[in-house]
Amino acid sequence: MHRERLEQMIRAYGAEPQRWPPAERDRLRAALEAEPELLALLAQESRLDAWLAELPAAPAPSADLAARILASAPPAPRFDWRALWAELGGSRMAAPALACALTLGLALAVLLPAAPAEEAGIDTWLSLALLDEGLEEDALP
Amino acid sequence: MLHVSSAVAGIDPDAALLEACARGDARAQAQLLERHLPRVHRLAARLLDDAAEAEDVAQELFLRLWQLAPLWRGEQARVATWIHTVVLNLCRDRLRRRRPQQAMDEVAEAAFGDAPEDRPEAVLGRAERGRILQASIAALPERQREALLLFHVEGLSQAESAAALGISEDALESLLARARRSLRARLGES
Repeated sequence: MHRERLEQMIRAYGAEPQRWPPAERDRLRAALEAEPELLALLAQESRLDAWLAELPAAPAPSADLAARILASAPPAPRFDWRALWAELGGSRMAAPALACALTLGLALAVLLPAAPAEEAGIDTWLSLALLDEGLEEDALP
Repeated sequence: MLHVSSAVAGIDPDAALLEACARGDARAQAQLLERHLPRVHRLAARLLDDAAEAEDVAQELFLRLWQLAPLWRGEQARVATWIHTVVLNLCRDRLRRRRPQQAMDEVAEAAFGDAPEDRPEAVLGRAERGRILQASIAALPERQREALLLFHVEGLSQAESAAALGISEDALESLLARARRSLRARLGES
């Protein structure tokens, strides 16, 4: 059983156990030691592995191939105000809402009484600031 | 539909990159290219035996990948599996547009003469052995050639190779065994 499977494995994946399917590798590698008759097969497939390892390198691509491919890649999308406008309801919903907000803002600005703007003298502000540093008001000019 | 083995399921390191590519992230695009372009070009060059045509394949593949990026869901396959599958498909299309098999046979005949002294065991030069091996691989049936290149030359795992070919791992094993047997026969190793 082991021998048959070992033969299949060697004939398909080669003589190097590292390339055998991981699920069977350890079990069959151990079984290999009990099958000296398979050494000839192992040597034969090992020669083919060596041939394959000597396969000449494939030609390198042109230096600008990567740049040409990247030029075809999609650019970062620019922010689409039209899509946002449409998402918000377009001229049927977003426009009236915007107009209402503007009108309300203007009305509040005009109708609300202005806060009493007491002239806070520079001396007052300065003395308040210097309090933290433990200076006496009297020390101010 | 891609056949995806459970062994290749799991976290896909390229999925996040592809998602960033869809947002136009130039760094992600460059990174994805760096990860896959060398193998894509190498595999296509070996399958087509034409470096310039391999560049066309690489460009076409990445153009498709950019278009696919916003739609990618990742449930069906890994990005790398998709890439390998598309390389194989693009190369098959191009090879079929050439005169099939005849071209391959001509390459093989050019590499081997009938005389015993032309056989690999009698040839000493490493470059010559490489040329003969390339011709022998080119003369393999399509699926055997693809399986051999993915697994034995590119070093993909069983699961990755099988997924790229859209077949089970058992079917891959059978293809590899037949490919190696054919190669040994051509190389005079049997």
